[in-house]
Amino acid sequence: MPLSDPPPLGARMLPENSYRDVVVMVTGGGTGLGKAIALEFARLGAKVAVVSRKPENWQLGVDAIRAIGGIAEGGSMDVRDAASVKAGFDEVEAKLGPVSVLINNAAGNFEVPADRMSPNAFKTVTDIVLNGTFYCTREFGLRRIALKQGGAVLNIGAPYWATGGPGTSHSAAAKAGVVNLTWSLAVEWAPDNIRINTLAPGYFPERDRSSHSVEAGGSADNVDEQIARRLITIPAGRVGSARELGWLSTFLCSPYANYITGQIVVLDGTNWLRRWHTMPFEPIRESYDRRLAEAKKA
Amino acid sequence: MPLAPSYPAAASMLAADTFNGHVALITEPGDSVGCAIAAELARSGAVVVLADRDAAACQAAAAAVEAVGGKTKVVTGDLTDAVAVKAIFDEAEGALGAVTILVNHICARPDLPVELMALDRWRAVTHGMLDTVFNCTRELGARRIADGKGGSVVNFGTPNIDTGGAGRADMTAAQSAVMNLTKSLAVEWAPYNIRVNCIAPGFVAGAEAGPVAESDLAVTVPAGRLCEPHEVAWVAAYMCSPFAAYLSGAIMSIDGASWERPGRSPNAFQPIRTRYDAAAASNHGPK
Repeated sequence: MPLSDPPPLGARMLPENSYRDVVVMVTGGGTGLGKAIALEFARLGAKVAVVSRKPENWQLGVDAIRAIGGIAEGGSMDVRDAASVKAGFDEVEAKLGPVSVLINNAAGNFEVPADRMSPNAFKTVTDIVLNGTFYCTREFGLRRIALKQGGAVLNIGAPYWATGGPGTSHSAAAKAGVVNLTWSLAVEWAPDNIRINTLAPGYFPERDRSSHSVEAGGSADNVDEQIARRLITIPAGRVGSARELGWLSTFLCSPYANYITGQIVVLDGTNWLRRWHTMPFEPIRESYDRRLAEAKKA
Repeated sequence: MPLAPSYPAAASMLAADTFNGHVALITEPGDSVGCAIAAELARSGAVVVLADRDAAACQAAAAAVEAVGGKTKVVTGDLTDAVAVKAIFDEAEGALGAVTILVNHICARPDLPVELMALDRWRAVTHGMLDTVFNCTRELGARRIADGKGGSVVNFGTPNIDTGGAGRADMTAAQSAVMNLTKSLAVEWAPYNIRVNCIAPGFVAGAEAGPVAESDLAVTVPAGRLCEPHEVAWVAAYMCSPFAAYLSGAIMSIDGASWERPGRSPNAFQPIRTRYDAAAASNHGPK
């Protein structure tokens, strides 16, 4: 018997309207895990600002939230560009009011061995994940400090911040940077009542982002195979459901967690802890080439 | 403005029926944190078993459970003794049914510089803390693996696992071992739907054992205040709930950014012995 399945989608963990009149910004909130997290805030009454680079992406998140009767507005923002971040905040705050909860979810990642990773690939991923997180958090912090009102920041990290991420060394380095930033800012901004934490999810497959799958050889056509291959490696015996990230996010950003700051919380069905108790090791480059060849054949 | 207070202690977080049908066993429930967790699990639907060496240590927690209309049972025995722990489980389960939630809470022991620490004290603290956790967790695991009912364990660690805990070396060593045990068991027992997580609280009001007064601790924390016991209880409630069904092997520290602060501490370093002697000489000697 693996770890139990979670309560169904739509189940409520925190009291009703826990986020009434609270404006929550989710970067990259139009698709995938960001959208799922945004939905859980919306269910609790939040006014959600869904921001992403492309309007067609944030529109998906806004539509999903409105479809459950939630409040949402979209905004365009390239997190790699501090001026665009400022403009994005201006745009959604004009519609919803000041943002007091920020979810730094926007990310970019793709598997590639380091010796085949171009400097531009490294720069692109670290620009989005590390610099983007800083630009958004800085913009948020400046506004909250000026208003003399507190707030909560939640970064979406990855368990490999602690172990390294063979095959995704750009993302792993950036996520480790985000963790360190979490610690620094937790101390710097505690006097301003601004909390900052990082949630590090394990494997939470999302079908609607499969078109830009992280995995080498992964595509929209082989999502089930990708899940099956990963599933047998996870001690929990199941993959994560996105709503589980949503519930933990709504807890960490709520007044119930007002003393929790500077924390890295891993939600992964114990997967990162199993390393030494694991299957035969296959060199990263061989594994990468094998899966690319398999995908090409299929 | 430092970190704002949370909701008041009377605010419950989870729905009142969240733990209906569950029996929760809490060890060493005598301090403010033990009482708060007992009350929070009770008002979220659990029947609460309180276990410690003697009934007096369970009185406050029992009263806290009754105050929220919950059902409780006190079971006594030496938690460092595996045979006694088995008897505790037998008695609790005989009366109430399977224990599916275990909170391995451990009360703080007074700080003591290592050069003043006799071997007896070192053993009492490390053996007392670590063996209690091992005995209770193993007993729960053996039972829930056998009957397939699954379970959730919450351990207590320290934010100081990476930095050491100068001034409380014995407690920190034991708590760090508990944190490592948390991770090993999380992997070993995931296939049996037994989740094992750990809370690492900073300074909690009503839970510090001295000799440094709690009022002197708050100024050391970036949050500008101590943790309130019910804030710890909400974390425990989340960890045990079905909403955390994928959470295992996780450490959640609740310390108001305390451990990240050393690089920005503006005050001169005070040797541990100096600090201890000053505190012990004041009115706040060890309890």
